[in-house]
This record gives sequence, C-alpha cells and structure tokens, in this order.
Amino acid sequence: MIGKKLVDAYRAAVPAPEISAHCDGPCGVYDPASARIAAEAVVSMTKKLKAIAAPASGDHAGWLAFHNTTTRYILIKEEQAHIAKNEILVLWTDYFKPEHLQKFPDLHDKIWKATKLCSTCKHEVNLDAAEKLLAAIKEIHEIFWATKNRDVAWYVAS
Amino acid sequence: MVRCELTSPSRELPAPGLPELVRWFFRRRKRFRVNGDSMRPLIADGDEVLVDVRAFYHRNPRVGDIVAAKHPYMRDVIIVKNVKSVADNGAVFLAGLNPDESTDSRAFGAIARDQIIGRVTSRFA
Repeated sequence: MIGKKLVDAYRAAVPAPEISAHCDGPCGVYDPASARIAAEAVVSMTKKLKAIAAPASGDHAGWLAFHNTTTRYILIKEEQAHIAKNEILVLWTDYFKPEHLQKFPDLHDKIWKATKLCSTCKHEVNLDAAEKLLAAIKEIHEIFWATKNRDVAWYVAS
Repeated sequence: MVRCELTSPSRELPAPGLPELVRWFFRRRKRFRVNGDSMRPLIADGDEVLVDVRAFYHRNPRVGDIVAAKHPYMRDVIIVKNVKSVADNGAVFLAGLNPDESTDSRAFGAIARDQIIGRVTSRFA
C-alpha cells in the first residue's frame, strides 16, 4: 500500500516522456468540410469574375478598379483552389486507409478527378469546373463519413 | 515469408507488479505517457506504460507484441503500436488497434528492427 502510494507520488511528481498513439495530425480533426469551404470560395470567385463588367475604353480610374478587383478575385480563386486540392490530398494520403479503398474501390479515381478539377479551376475561369469540383467534394464527403459510420449531412455555407 | 496476425490481441496489459516496479527502479523498464487513442481499448490516451528496453536484445519482436518504436519520419517522436507481422529480417509491420485513429505501417511501411525501442510490459492502472 505504502509502495503504491510512493509510486503514485513519484509518477505525479516526475512526468513521463510522451509516446505517441495517434495519427500524424491531432486525432479526429480530418474533415472534408475544409475542402468544401475552399471550393465554395472558388465557385463564388468564378461567378464574380464572370459577372464583372469592363469599364469604357478611356476610363482610366475604371480600368484601374477593374484590374484591381479582377486580380483580387483571381488571386483568391487560385489560392482557394490550391487549398481545396491540398485538403483533398491530405485526406487521401493521411486519412483514407486500404480497408476504406476495399469498400470504395473508386476512391482513387474520385480523388484524382477532384484534384484535376482544382487545377482546371486555377487555369480557367470555368464555372462548370468549379461546380463539378464542389460536387466531387460532396462525393468525398459521403465516402469519408461512411467510413466513420456517421451520417453527416452535406451543406454549403453560401 | 511474413508471419501475420489473424486477430487483434485479446489480452490485457497487466498493471505493474512488484517485480516490474523493481525492474523499473533498476532502469530495466522505461516509463512513458501515452498520447492518443490508436491503442484503445488496450491503452487509453493519458495512460502510463512501462517498456522493457532489453526485450529484443536476444529475440525478434513477435506478432501481437505491443512495442515502442522510433517514428520513421518524425524525429524525437516515439510511437506505441501493435506488431501485426514480422518479416524474416526482423522488420515489423505496426498497426494501431483502432485503425481510424492511427497512422502506422499502413502509411509509413514496415519499421526496421533497430528502430524498435522495446516491448510494452505493463500499464499503470
């Protein structure tokens, strides 16, 4: 009894070095929602770029504002498409395991196509590709939550 | 030739008895605090375990051993996993008991024999 108390007191006083029994990221933080948010931003920026009207030819201030705004939209589109691609790839390499692939044999193909769509969204101002990207992430979302045996509804912020 | 485990270990890790505590006192065991849930239900997040650092001086790890090993890519990170299979050269394939919460040999491949630090012998209750 005294021995156990001594051991407990020692353990409380002297912290043991850590040994890791978890995934590379903090446990349970994987979520396709981060890819979805980025893809939504890509859809939004693409729509804004398509909708913006060019100023009259001699309107210097108008052109300056036009270039400034389109540059900002393009910059955000480029950045968010890259974030979406990265988030999808992290799920692919770090979360999904061989047993998930057995259950969802088309997972590699879906990931590949989704990341290709991220590239298309960067290269072009392509609303069709942006909406297809969001739809592809929805499919990944469904597979992801199915592997966790959880029924998580798909929703969009915008 | 690789020996494979068919089922997860069903045994429990005992609490350290007096002989284990004596070995710990004489530095034959190392104490670690486990961080993460990949070894549930055997070891929970926050549990402390004792590791026999000489366990594999004279024998290779066996399927079903719970081992402490150096992470193959992350310096200064030590991992605790279950030995799923052992190759003839002593390289081991490690897996968590809780696959969804574990990054293990499915992601980083087999671990070389000399990266294994020791065998987990007991868990403080």
